[in-house]
Amino acid sequence: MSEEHEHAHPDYWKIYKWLVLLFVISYLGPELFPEQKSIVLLTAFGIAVVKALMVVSEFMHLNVEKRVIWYLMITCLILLFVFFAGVAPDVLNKSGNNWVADSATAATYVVQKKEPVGTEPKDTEPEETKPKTADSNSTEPAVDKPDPKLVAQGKALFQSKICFTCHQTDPAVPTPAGLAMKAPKFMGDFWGKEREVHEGGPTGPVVKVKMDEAYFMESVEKPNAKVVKGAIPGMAPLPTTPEERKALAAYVKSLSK
Amino acid sequence: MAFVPPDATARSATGIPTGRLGMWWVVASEVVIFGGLIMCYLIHRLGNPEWGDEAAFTIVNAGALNTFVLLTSSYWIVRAHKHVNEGELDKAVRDMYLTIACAGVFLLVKTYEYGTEIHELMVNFAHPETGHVIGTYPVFWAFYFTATGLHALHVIGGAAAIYIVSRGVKKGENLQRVEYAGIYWHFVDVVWVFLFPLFYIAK
Repeated sequence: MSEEHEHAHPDYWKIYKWLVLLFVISYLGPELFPEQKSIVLLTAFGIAVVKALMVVSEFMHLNVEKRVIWYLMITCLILLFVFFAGVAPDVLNKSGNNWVADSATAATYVVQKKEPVGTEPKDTEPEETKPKTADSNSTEPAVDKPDPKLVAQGKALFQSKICFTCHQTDPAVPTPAGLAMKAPKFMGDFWGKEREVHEGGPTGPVVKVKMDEAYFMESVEKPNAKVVKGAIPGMAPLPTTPEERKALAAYVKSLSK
Repeated sequence: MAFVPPDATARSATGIPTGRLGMWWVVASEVVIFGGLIMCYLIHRLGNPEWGDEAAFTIVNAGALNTFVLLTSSYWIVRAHKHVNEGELDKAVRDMYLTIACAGVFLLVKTYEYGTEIHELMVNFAHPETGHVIGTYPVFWAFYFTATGLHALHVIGGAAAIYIVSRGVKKGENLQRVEYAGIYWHFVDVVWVFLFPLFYIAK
């Protein structure tokens, strides 16, 4: 006689009904309370565990299986948690006191930002430019209202002239190279603010300058003319026309808020 | 007619029929394959909360339907096992065909999802509510297509295996295989039970 007959078959229909009920709860929970993280986690993941245990024990008959199979499964699960515990700290912490995991950062973040084309350009375009220009209007005199076309052109140049590889513009998208070189970030309220720079080169005297269009355009043309204090000089003077520098300035200014 | 498996399949040092023990080893290795993938995804997902904007593009209702379909298929295959034990081979074969049909429905829904998502990724579709452009964080999609794609391959393989087993059952041969195919199939169901909240619900 084989093992098969040592257990009676449970009422599978009843178990199935329970599983469907749990599935419905796990589906409705996050649908009805999308804002409540605890309910989403409990209904989606808590019930997933319960459902999995039910399927494993009742359908896969692990409840009446020899213990050795339990040991086998539990060993595999423990290995997974060992893997998680060993790898997670390295992946989740991308920088420490004396080190920056550039490759880990680069592997998990995209540097290049995507622009929508086709389906819904209208929805995203104004979001990219208009609200930000409105912000800068509130702090700046209304006279120099940024030209959206110029801002868009500057944004494209910011990509094509590879400014984006070092100068961070989005808190969600770190720039590994920029972090390493302590490149100034174009985030927050920076336009029109004073900053400390080494004048005439990285070893020059420290002076205070205002972050304005003149300073910006000079720095694009001659990056080492004024080097931000603490930054490692290394920006290449990429060839740009005065018009392109103007567009870049308009774009970077629109980032300040 | 009670079913007595052949000697070779019943003989085992563990007291477990050899075929079933082998299937549990397959499941154990699959736990590590899918588990490792899920753990990798989990680590990166925890470190990148903004991936939630990408998860908003997955089709929750399609995923939910597939969860239900796989759950139902799990019921059919365990019923097939019960019928085999009770000697009702015709019913067992019918239940196995129903399982394969569920696998077909699952794959059709998955095809629809993949088609929609790949199209959206190709045209840089923007989310109607958030304005987030799909594919801004492409690693999410790498995980999504790897995990669900590997799972879909398991569904295809499982359905093929169940069909082969059903041909034996029709002739009254190798009836013990129904349970083994079932163990595998339930595992495929369990994997989906976790993939669904991980990729569809968590935003």
